[in-house]
Amino acid sequence: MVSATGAIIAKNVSKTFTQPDGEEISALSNMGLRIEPGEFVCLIGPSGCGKSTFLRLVAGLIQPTSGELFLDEKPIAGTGADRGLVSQDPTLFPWLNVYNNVAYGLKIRKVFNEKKADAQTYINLVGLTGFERSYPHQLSGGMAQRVSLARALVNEPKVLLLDEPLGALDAFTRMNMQDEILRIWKERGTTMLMVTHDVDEAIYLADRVFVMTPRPAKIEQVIKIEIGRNPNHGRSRDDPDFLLMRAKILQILNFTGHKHALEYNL
Amino acid sequence: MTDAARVPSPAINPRPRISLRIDPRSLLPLAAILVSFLAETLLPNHEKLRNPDYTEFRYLLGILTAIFAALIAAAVWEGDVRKAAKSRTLFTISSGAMALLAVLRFGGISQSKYSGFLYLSAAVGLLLFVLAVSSLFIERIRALAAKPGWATISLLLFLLFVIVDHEAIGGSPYASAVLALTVVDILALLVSLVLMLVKSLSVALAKRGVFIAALILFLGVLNVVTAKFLLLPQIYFPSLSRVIHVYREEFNFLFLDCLLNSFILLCQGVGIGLVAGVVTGILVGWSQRWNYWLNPFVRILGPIPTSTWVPLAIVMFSRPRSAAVFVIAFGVWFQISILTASGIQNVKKSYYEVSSTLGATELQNLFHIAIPDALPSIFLGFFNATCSSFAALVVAEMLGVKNGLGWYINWQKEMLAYPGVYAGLVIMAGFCYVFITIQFKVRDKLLSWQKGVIKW
Repeated sequence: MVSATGAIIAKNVSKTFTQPDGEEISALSNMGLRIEPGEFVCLIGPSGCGKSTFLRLVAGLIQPTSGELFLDEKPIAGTGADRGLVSQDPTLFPWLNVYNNVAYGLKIRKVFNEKKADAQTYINLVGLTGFERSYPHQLSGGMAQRVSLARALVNEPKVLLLDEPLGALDAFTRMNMQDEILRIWKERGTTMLMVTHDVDEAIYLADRVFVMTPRPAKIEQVIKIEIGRNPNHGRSRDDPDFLLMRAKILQILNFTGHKHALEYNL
Repeated sequence: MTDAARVPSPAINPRPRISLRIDPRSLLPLAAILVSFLAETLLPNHEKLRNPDYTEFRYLLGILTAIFAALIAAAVWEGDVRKAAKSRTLFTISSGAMALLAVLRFGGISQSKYSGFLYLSAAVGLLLFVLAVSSLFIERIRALAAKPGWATISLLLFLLFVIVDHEAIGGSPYASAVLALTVVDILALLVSLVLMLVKSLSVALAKRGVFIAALILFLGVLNVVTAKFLLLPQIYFPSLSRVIHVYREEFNFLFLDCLLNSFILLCQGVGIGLVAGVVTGILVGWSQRWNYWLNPFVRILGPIPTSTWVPLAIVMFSRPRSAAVFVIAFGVWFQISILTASGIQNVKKSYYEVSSTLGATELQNLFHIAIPDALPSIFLGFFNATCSSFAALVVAEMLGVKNGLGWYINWQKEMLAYPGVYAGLVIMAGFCYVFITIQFKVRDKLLSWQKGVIKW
């Protein structure tokens, strides 16, 4: 059930922030890209390269200084339930229990009565059946992040914006959640736009990886990952192609000096 | 299927064995009562002001003995008796008796000065009775009916009836029936209340035993110092018996006029202040424009002490009662609005962002994010405001209000009737305690999602 909607187009998007002392800082300049419906795209790059800014622009939380953004040919102006956002901090509402956190979007859009079953469906989907009555402070970090994912998914957005959603999790939970996200993506066909610091994560998950560099913030290179995915999870992390891809991306990001390059050229 | 027969059936719990052992600390209050009682009866009374033969302190000790004997008995039998079904039945019997009594008394009530209030209480009593009886047959309301709060209310209502109408008890068969019901009801309610309120009675009793014993001993010493040896000036430090005597003599006036009046005044003042404070706080905290215009007023007018408003309040309001309500409401308004505004301003920005990306409008963000998140802060303001409203109440009751607790204490002081002052003070303390406790219960219910709640 791959949806034919959820295409994101950015045309010459720039964003400048003005500091309190009047100094202007350019977070993004003349960024242009096209993300196909149902595609899984990872934005990768060092901190300060404007990845999160771009995600917030797509979410509609901030407006571009110049340029335009489109979702399915319609210009993006302000936030909307068609673009879900999951950030590194789960930001669950502490006064609502898990069920009500997930059902929040339904209630806000006044469709709770018709779609009551959806809340439970997504709680089950992220594997939290039985925790409906728990409050956020009773959950572990990984569980909270799952709730946050279910809360964004319940609105059935065309695009899911993931801002380092797994950054704060331990290695095992993280690998688990990566498979979880892939499963949901395959099941729902939602367009995924994910920001990450982790090169392995990007190669493991994405159809295409956008490598960004700071100062000036721009997309350095778009890399199509053509390694086949395993049926039940992502790509094999020990595949030679995987390692090559990793070396390539790290090189673009300027993390591999010459002494390391040797190693990979063997 | 034959295997199933071999599986041992789950062990049926044997009837719990009753252990008659009890922590010696639980017995300390009884020992303290005994010491106080011996001192009271063996030493001669020397108090010469008014009637020297007041012996109300002995009644108090008697009542305390009964309560502690009942508590200790309940603690000893706890293992067997503490079952929800039994306490429910007790509750049903007691509130049934209460309601029956209320109906029987309708004739007498109509002539009473407090008839309107008593009719209301009787109606509540009947409602409780219906609830209790139907809980025996309808499964769904069983848990509701067994709530300790209902038993407490019915006990209070019942005591009210007995006290207001106490002249009726004496001689006639009707009066004997009433008396019998009274005993049954109070005993049943006491037991059911104790069983429902205290999770582990024997532990609680042992833990509190030392403190309660010390308290009773203190009363005993006070009694010896004041009534027996006259070590303190008699006018200002009357004996306990004389203080308790005030309750016997002026019960209706103290509780039904003064306490009720203070209660209503406080509720009006706090209620108006609460609504005004929350609204102001939300406007100041949420909207830049309202903040621009309102914030200076809140900051300049708010800190002015309540009593300073008295001269102005008298001029502003034609009725002294309205002035009194204003004085209380003002202090409450300030404290609540300040903390509501700060609560709303401190809501994490990321909550709004998440809410917006889920499709919420600005107004929905206010009602679904800002207010729930500010609720702990609002309650903190409400708590502070309630505490200072008691002070405001006493000030407000100087504004020509006809009666009230603060007014009563002042009046008694001016008459140099210090027993009345102490009697009033005790009611005031109990009143404030109950008022704040109820508030904390409501808060705990609403803010059950919070991790570390402030304890009271």
